Formats: sequence, C-alpha cells, structure tokens
Amino acid sequence: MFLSVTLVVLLFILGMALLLGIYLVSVYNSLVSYRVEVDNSFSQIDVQLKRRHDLIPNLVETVKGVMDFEKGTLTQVMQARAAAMGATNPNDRLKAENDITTGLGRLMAVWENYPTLKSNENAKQLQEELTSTENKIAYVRGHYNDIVANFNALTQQFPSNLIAGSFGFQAREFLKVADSDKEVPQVKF
Amino acid sequence: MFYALPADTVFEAKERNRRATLYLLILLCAVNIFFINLLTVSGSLMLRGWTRTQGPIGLGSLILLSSILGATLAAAHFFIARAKSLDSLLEPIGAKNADPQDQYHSQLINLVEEVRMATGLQAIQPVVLATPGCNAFSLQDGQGKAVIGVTEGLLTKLSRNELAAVIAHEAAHLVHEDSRLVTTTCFLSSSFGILYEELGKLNNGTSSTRYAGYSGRRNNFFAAALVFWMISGLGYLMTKLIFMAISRQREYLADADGVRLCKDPLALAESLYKISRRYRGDVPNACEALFIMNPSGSDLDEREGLFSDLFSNHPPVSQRLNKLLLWAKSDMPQLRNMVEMEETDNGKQVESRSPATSSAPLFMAFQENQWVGPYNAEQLLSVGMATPTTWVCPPGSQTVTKASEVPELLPLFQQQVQGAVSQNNCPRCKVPLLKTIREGSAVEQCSFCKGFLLRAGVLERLIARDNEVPLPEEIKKARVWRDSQRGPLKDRVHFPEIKCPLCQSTMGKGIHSMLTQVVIDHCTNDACRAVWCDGGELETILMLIQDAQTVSI
Repeated sequence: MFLSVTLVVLLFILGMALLLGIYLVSVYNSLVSYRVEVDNSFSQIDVQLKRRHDLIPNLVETVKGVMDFEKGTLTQVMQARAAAMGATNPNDRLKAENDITTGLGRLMAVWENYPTLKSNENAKQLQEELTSTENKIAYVRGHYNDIVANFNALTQQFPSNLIAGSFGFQAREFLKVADSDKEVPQVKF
Repeated sequence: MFYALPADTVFEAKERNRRATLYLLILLCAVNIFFINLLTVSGSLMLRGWTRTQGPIGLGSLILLSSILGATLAAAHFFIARAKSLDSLLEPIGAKNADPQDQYHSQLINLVEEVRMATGLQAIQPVVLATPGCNAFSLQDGQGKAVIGVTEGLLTKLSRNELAAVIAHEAAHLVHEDSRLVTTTCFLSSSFGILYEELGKLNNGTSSTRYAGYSGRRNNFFAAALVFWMISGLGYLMTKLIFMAISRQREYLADADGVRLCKDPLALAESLYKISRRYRGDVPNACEALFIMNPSGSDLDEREGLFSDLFSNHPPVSQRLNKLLLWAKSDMPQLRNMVEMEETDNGKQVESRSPATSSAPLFMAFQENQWVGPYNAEQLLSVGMATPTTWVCPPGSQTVTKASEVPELLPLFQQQVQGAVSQNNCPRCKVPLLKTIREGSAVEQCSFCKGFLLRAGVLERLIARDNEVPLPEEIKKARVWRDSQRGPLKDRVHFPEIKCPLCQSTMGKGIHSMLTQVVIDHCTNDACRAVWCDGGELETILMLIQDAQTVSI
C-alpha cells in the first residue's frame, strides 16, 4: 500500500509536468506565430508601396497634357518617387513615401476639375488602381498595427512575458504618423 | 489569420460560433443515434418475436453498436458534406465569378482584396449575382475557402466607399466565423430539405402499391425510409433553430466590426438605407440568412422581443441605422437628405450616346426603293449612304449582291472602321467590330448596322445595370412595336441565320422574353453562348425592361 501511494503521487506529478510542458510549448508557438505575422505584414506594406511606385510614371504620362496647373505637383511626385526608390536608410524612405502620398492626394483632389480625364478610359482605370493601392497601403498598415498590438500584449502579459523574456521576444514599435502629416493643410483659392 | 479587437467582443463571437457548431453536431449525432437505435432494436425485437430465439447479439451491445454507428454517420455527413459545400450553395442562387474584364467587377475585385488585407485572412473570392436587386452575402466552407458576393444592382447603386463598407461588413462575418456556421447550417438544411422531400415522395408514392406477397419486405423498407425521413425532418428544424437563436446579435457585431475595418460608419449607414428601400433580390428560403439584409423583407424583422429574436435572422433596419449614425455623429434626417440629393444628381446625368458614325469599279446601289448610280467605289462610300448591307449590282448585269460581298468594296468599308477594332467581324456586314464599354461591360458594336456582340452573361448585366429613362416618344414606339409582334417565330424573322463571330458555330434565333418580344441570336455552342443583337434590338430590350420596372415600382 505504501508503494502504491508513492506511485500515485509520482504519476500525478508527472501528469502536471506534462501539462505544464504542453502549455509552455503552446505559448512559445503563439509568440512565434505572431512574430512571423508581424514580419509578414511589414513586407506586405513594402509590396503595396512598390506597386504605387510602378503606377506613378503611367499616371504622370496620362495627365501630363491635361493637368496644366498641376505641373508643380507632378514634378514633386516624380522626385519623391525617385528619392523613395533610391533611399538607403528607413527614415529617408519614410519621408519620401509621405511626400508621394501628399502629392498624389493633391492630384486626386483636383481630378474632378478636368472633364477630359473623366471621359478617358485609361485615366479612369488608372485612378481606380491608384485609389485601390492607397487604400491597400492604409489597410495593411492598420493590420500591421493590430498584429503588433497583439504581439506586444502577449510579450507583456503574465505569465507569457516570462517565456517571451527567456527566449528573446521583444515588443515591436507601432507605425506612427509623421509629424509633418499632422499639419492641417492650408486651403488656398 | 489574426487581428486585434477588444477581447470581449470578437473572441466571444468566435467562441460562440464554435460552440453553436458543436451543439449542432451533438444534436445531429443524438438524433441519428436515437433513430438508428429505434430501427435496429425494433428490428431485433421483431426478429426475436418471429424466430423465438435470443439472437446472436445481446440487446445492450446492439444499442451500443447502433449508437456508435449513428454518431459516426452523423459526424461523417457533417464534416465531409460541409468541407466542399460552396458550389452547391452558389449554384442555386446563380452566383458567377467576378469578371476582370468588366469595369464594375474589376472594382469589386480590388475592393475585396483591400478589405482582405485589413483582416489578414487568406484568399477571398468575389462573386456576383446577376440581379438588379441590392444585397450582399458571404460564405465559408469547412476547408476555409471564403466567398463574398454582391448583386449587380448593388454594384451600380452604391458609390465606391459605400461598397467598401458593405464588403467590410461581410468580411467581418468571415472573421467571426459566422459565415462558416451559416454556410454549414444552410447546406445541411437544404440537403436535409432535399432528403426530406425525396423520402416523402417515396413514402407517398409507393404506399399505395403494395403486393400481398411482398408486404413483409416492403414494410421493412418503408420503416427504414420513414425513419430517415423523420431524421431529416428533425434535422431540418434543428438547424434552423440553432442558428436563429444567435442571428440578430451576429449582424450587430458584424456592423461594428465592419466599421472598424473600413473606418467609415456613415458609408455603411448610407448603404443599409439604400438597400432597405430597394428590391433585394429573390433567393431560396434556406439561404436567406446569408445576406446583409433579408431578401424577403419580412415584418418579423422589424419587431423586437423574444419571439422575433428567436425566429428572425436579421435585426430591424432602424436599430442598425441608429447605432451606426451614433458613431457617425449624424442622424436620420441628415442621412435621408444626403441620399436623396445624391439620387437626384444621378438622375439628371444623361449618358451621352455615342454619335452615329455613318459609313459607303462602278456600281448601282439600291437606295430607298430605287436604283441610283452608277458610282465608283469612292463615291459610293463618300456619299455615306452605302453600308455593307446595301444591295449593289454592276451596271448592266443582273447579279445583285450585298456591298460586303463585293471584293473591291469590302476593304474600303473595313478601312472606315476606326478606333478600338476587335478581331471579330460583324456577321451581317462582314467588317470588324469596334470594342466599346457599355455600362462598365466590354461589348463590341458594328459601326455600320449598329448591332451588338455580347459575350455570355453580359446581356443580363446590361439589363440589371441599365438606368436610363427613355424618352416618351421612343418608349411609345417600342411598346407599339412590341404589341404588334404576333405569330410564331419563323414568321417574324427577317434576317437569315448567321454564324457566331467568336466561335463560328451556327447561331439560333430566339425571343428574348415575353416582355420584350425581341428576336435575338444565340450561339448554340455551350462553351461560347454569345449573343448577337441586330441594330436597335439591344436598345429596345433595355427600354422595354426599364419601362416595365418603372411602372411596377
């Protein structure tokens, strides 16, 4: 009888250890899944930004002859694109991409003033593609922030923060709005 | 894959749906177990009664075996059937894949892709229902394949932002796994429904024809059929009950999550308002819960309280709008104003018709019931009256042919065709067709006879999207023409049979519909199914259908 009690206790401890092990493994795996998804989202943003780079020359060609008053904006967009494609560090890249966004935003806003563009099939398709790409960039950035939020929560909540700390998972940064974007644009007539 | 929302909403939604699926499975297993046990135990007891022996298997183990069998059958049916249930649900409602060549469809493809990126899901396939009603739905099968569908009417009536909001709502359903549960229950209820009907027929039809000598064996067969009939009937009922109990809450949550995805509550409010005021399409009863707004527009939906919470699968529209407008910091009168202003603006825009581009050795030409000429080729064409279908004949001879059959004239006509020239030729005039866009769809038109070549499915889209109000004189002429169409088909056709410009098979003539009485040509090749409308036929069809819609609403 003495032997069977120790047996039962041993089996119990073994069972608990097994359950603990399974729990540790599952937490570690979730951390890994989230981290992979964070990296994936980040590269998805890059994919959409590159697509925008490809669409810009087409856009400039299509509207060059029509949008006489926007020549300044068009040049600015092309220059920003060149800067974005040639940027070496992430800060320059970010600034150039933001410049592209502002330039394109201005062009889209005055699109309605040119009736020739509205009847041009190519221009319509191009506008649709550009709108879609801008939306995708916004959505993917939002998704990235959502995933980073989940990941950060997991690395900081107890008890998964212990596992995260011991295996080197660190919290990631959110994508922030650049300070220049927060300026309210002037309305000039 | 993953997304973030406060844990008490979406996490709960997924858990609730998974629990509902589990309950469904358990109940189905229970029903199966009960009835199969009934069958085997009663069979075994009858057998014992007849043979007055114990039998090889004891009663307890028989019950155990039957239960295992019942549970396995139910689980197998459940998982195997719903793994690939999408096609069997999409077909009866007439959903077709979005066409990248079509302007509206390609915008839909872009929108679905955008929203998919916001959710982090794997591929979502866009489909379109060719009906002028306004509605949207989402489906997901057991394997995780997802589908978002909209109607043609929705594509034309909503702006890009509003469409994005509707698709975000449907994507929210996908994320919550509502769509998977609804697809499962829809599929099961429709397959149970079919089983129910088939077995019902079996019971009714054969019970009256019984032969004395075989009644014993037939009785057993009927018993089995009856049992499965009852199983299917109960299963049908239960599938409906289980998911209706949580339906209304799902729609509210999907509204909320859709707004979170697209960040535009006003657009979703406008879309719901517009959809609620219009015809929402016709779908089989089993599939109603799939749609963003109930296609049958039942009164039960508009009420509150326990009964309607249980048995109605959509919440009242006014409640949904109130919640959304609260977010948008707006209210109903403003919403109504906005929508009405937008609709009067659209009504004022009249689509400009493309200006008629006319076209036409020595030849005599038969113009306006008399022979004129002789003209040489350039003169014939420059006069502008000669088209490829004009009868010509060389002076002094008796050979009368169509201008398109004369080797000197045909190239000149072909040169006259300017613009986006397609590779297909007009079956009447033999000149290349011009590619053009009509209501967002790619069509080909002959610049001489103004006939249209429409690929498979495009005619339905044009009918669904057409919004032009025709002039009163034109509609009167069309009506008079239509009412004068009498007699069988062969008495009405003036033109000879033609070959399909796309696949060169013969085209058969058919009346488009009783409403329009227009005779059009259909390609008889099933892989092609193109439609040829001669000059004026497409316009007549669109006018008459538009006229009928205006009167009935």
